[in-house]
Amino acid sequence: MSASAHADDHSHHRFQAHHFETGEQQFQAGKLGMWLFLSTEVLFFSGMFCAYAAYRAAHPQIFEDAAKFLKPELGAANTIVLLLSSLTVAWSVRCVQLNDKKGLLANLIITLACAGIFMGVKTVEYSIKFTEGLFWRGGYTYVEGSHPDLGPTHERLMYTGLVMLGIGVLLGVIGIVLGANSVGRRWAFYALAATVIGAGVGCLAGNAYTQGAEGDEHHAEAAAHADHEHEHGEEAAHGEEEAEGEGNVAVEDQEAVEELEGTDRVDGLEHPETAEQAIEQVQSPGEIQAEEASADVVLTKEKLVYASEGPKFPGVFFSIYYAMTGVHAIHILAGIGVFVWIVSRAARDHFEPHYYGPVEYTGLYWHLVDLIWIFLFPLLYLIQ
Amino acid sequence: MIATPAQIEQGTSHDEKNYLNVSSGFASWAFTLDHKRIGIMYLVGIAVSLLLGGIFALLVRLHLWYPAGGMFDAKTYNEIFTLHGAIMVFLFIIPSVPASLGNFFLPIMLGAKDVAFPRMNLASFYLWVIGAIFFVSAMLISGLDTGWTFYTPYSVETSTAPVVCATMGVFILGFSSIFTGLNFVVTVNTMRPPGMTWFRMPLFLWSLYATGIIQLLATPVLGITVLLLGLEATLHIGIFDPKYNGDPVLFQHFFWFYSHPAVYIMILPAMGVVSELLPVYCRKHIFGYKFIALSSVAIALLGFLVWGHHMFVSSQSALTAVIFSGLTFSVAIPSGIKVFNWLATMYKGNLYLTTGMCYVLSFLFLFTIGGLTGLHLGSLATDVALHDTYFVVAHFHYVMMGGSLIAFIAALFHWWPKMFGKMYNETWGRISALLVFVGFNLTFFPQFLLGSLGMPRRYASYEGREGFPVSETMLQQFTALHRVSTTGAMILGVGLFIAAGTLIAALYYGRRAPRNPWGGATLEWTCQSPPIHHNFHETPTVGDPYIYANLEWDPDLEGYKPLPPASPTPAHEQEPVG
Ligand SMILES: [Cu+2]
Repeated sequence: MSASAHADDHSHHRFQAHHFETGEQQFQAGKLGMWLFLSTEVLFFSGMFCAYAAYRAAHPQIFEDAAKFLKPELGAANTIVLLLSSLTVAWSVRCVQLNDKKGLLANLIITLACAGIFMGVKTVEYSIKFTEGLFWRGGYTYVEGSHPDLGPTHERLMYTGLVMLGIGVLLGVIGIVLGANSVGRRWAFYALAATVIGAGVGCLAGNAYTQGAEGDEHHAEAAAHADHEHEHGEEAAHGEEEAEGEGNVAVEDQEAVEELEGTDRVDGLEHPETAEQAIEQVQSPGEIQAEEASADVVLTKEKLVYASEGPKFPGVFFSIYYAMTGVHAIHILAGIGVFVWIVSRAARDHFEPHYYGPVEYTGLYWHLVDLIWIFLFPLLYLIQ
Repeated sequence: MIATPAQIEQGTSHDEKNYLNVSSGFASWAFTLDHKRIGIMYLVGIAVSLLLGGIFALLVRLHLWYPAGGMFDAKTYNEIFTLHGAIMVFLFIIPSVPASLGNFFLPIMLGAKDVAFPRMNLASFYLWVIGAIFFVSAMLISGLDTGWTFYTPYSVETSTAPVVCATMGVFILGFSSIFTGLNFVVTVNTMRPPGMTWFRMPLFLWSLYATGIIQLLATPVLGITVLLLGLEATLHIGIFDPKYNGDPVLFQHFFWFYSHPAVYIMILPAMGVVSELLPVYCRKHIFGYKFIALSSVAIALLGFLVWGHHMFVSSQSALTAVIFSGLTFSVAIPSGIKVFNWLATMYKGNLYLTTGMCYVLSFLFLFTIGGLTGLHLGSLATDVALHDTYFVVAHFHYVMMGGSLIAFIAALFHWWPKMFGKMYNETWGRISALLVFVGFNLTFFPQFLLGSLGMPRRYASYEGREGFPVSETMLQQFTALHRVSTTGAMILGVGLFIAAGTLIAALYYGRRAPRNPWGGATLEWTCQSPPIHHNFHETPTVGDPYIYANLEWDPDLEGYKPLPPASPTPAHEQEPVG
C-alpha cells in the first residue's frame, strides 16, 4: 500500500492513527462509530419516551392539566435557538470543507452561544417551577390555588444572568491574557466566554419574559376573579380556596378531591384508607349530587380514578418532565464541552478539507440532541 | 513473512519481540492501547470475578445442605445469592468472551493492527474496573439483597444506599459494554483485509458482530432503567414505585428488554467459539457456514422480541403472553440450526480430543439440554407451574454456565498457546474437562427435578413453613436432591481449579508453542506465538478460513505449517502424525 496510490482521497494527514491504512478509512470508521453511538443515544432516551407514553395513555387528563403549567413560549424560544445552532453546525462543517477557518470559528462560536442561551432559559424554567413547588413526584409540594411570591426568584434570576454576563466577559479577558502565546488556549476561552454570555442572555431574557407574562396573567386573573365572584356569589364559602385557581381542570379536580376528603390535604395512596373513603363517599349516589352541586364539577369515571390517585399525582408528570429535559440538558452540556475542544483545535489549524472528522462527528451528535428536543417540545409543552 | 521451521526452532533469540516483552513496567500496561494487552487485563479482571462469584455459589450450595439452612440467616443468604448472581452476570459472563478473547483475537483474525478505536477500548476497560468497584462495594459493604434483577418495589423500599451504588455500577459497566460492542462493529465493518468478504469472515467474528449489535441496542435501555431506578430510590420520581403512583411492572418491561437480549450477549460469543474450534479439531470444513453466520444475526434480532416471557405471571394480558410465547419458540429455530450444523461438521470428521475439543463436546451436550428445557419455560401452561422454581435455575445454568462458561474455558485452552506462547499439559486439561462435565451435571440436573417437585428458587430453607408447606416425603426428596447438587458443585469447583491450575502452570512449565499447534486456518495461526506488537508486518490476504488441506503436520515444529506453494494441493486432507 503506497501512499501515492490514494493521494487524492483523505490521504495521510498528520492525525492519522497508525492502525488505519488510509485517512479515508479512519474517517469512515469514525463516522460509523458516531452513528452507532447515536443509535445508542436514541435507545437511551427511548426508555423515557416509553415511560411518558405509558403514563400519558393511562392518565391523559392529568397529563393535559399538568402540561398547562409549562410555558410554551419559553420552549418555543429554545426550539428556535437549537434549530439555529444546528444550522450553524452544519455550516461550520461546510466551512472546514472549503478551508474557511474564519467561517468555521464564527459558526462554532455562534453554536456555543446558542447552547448557552438554551441552558439560560432552562434555568429560568426550572427555577420558577421549583419556587411554585412543582417538583417531581416525591418532592411535589404544589398547593392548589396558592400563588407563591415569584418576586425573589425573578430577582435572583436577574442577578444570576448579570453575574453570568460578567463571568463571560472575564473569561474573554482571561483568553486575551493567557492566549498571548497559545492560540488554542485563547480560543478555548473565547468559546467558553461565548457560552456563558449566551447563558446570561438566555437567563435575563427568559426571566424578563416570564415576569411580563405573569403581570398579564394577574390582570387577566383579576378580571376572571371578579367575574367569578359576580356569577357565583353564593359560593362564597368556597371562595377563598377556589377563586385563585388558574382556571384549569387540574385545579378543579384537585378541589373535587379536596372537598371529598374534607379539605384534608393528604396523599391518597400514602393513606389508602382516606382515598377509599373518598371513593366510597363518591359512590353513594346521594352524595355525588350533593358534591356536584357544591363543587360545580361533573364527576366522571376518570375523575374517580383521579381522586383515588391523590392530589400529588401530577408530580409524576413533572418527574418525567425533569428526567427527560434534565438528561437532555446533560447532553447539551457534554456538547458544549466537546465544542470548546473543537474550537481550540480549529484555532490551531488542525482541521483541513482532508481532515475534519471531529467537526463532522460532533456536528452529528449535536443534530441528534437537537432532534430529541424537537420531540420533547411538543410532547411536553404542546399536546393537549 | 512466515518464518522457516529452523528459525522458530532456535527459540527466543531469533524471535521478534512480542507484545508481552516489547515494553515493560506498570505504565506500559496501564496506558497501553494494544488490544492484546487490554484483552489480557480484562482476562485477569474477569478471572477474579469468576473466582468471587464461584466462591459465593459454593457458599449457597453448602448452606442448602441442611433443610433449615446450615450457615447463614435468611438476610445474609439473600445477600450471598445476590452477590453470586450479580457478579457472575454483570462482571463475568457479559464481558467474558468478547472483552477478553474478542479483544485479543478480533483484530488479529482481521489481519488488522488494532481495533478501530484503541483509546475507547482502554476507556472501556477502566469503566469496567470503576463499575466493578462500585458494584462490589455496594454488595460487600452495604449488603445488596435484591437479587441481580433489582425488581421494584422491593429494590426501592429496602435500604437505598446499596441499590443506588449498585445501579451506578451497572450504569458504568453498561457503558463499558457499549464501547466494546461499538468498537467491534466498526472494526469488522471498516477494517477487513483485502479478500475477506463478509462470508469469508471467521464465524467467531460473525458472532462478535451480532453480539456487538445487541450490546449497542439493548444496553442503553438498561442504562436509562437503572438511572430511573436510582432516581426512584433517592428522589421518589414515581415511575416504578407503586407507593408514589409508579408502575413496578414497567420496570420489569424495561429490565427484560435489556436482560433477555443480554443472555444472547452471553451465549452468542460462546457459539462463535464452538463454530471456530469444532472444524479445527475435526479437520473438516465447517458445515453450513452461511446458516451459522446468519443464524447469529437472526438470534440477535429475534432476541429483542421475546422479553415478555419473563413476565408470564406479572399481570400480562393473555394475548400478550401468547404472542411472547410464540416469539420465544421462534428463537429455537436459529439455535437449532447452529446445533445441527455443528453435528454435521463432526460427522465423518477426524476428531482430536484435545482439552479444547473436550470442552466443546461438553458444550454441545449441556447447551442442548439447556436449550430444550427453555421450551418448557417458553410454553405458558408449564411456565406457570415452573416459574420461580429451581427448574428455572437449572435451565439458566445449563445455558449460561454449561454454554458460555464451558465455551469460554474451551476457548482459553484453544488460544492459550497463541496468547502466551506456551503449551499446556493435555492430560490435566482433559481431567479438568471430565470433572467439570460430571460435576456440572450432578449440580444442575437434580435442580430440574427439584423445580418440578415445587422447590422455589431463592429460598434460604426448605424445611417448610407457613406459605411453603413441605410434607415428609417432599422433605426427603428435597434434602437428597440438594445434597447431590451440593456434592456436584464441589466436584465442579475442583474441576475448575484444575483447569485454572493447568493454564497457569503452562505459563511457567509449558513447552514453547509453535505458530500453529492445532492446524487452524484463521489468520491468528499465521502470526507468531505470542504475536508481535503490531500483529502482522503486512496486511495479509485471506481465503476461506476453514480449508485445512494446505496445512501439514511437521513433527519437528510440533505444529502445522503451510504446504510449500510449489506442491499441488492434495485432494485429501492432511493428517497429523503422532
Ligand atoms: Cu429471556
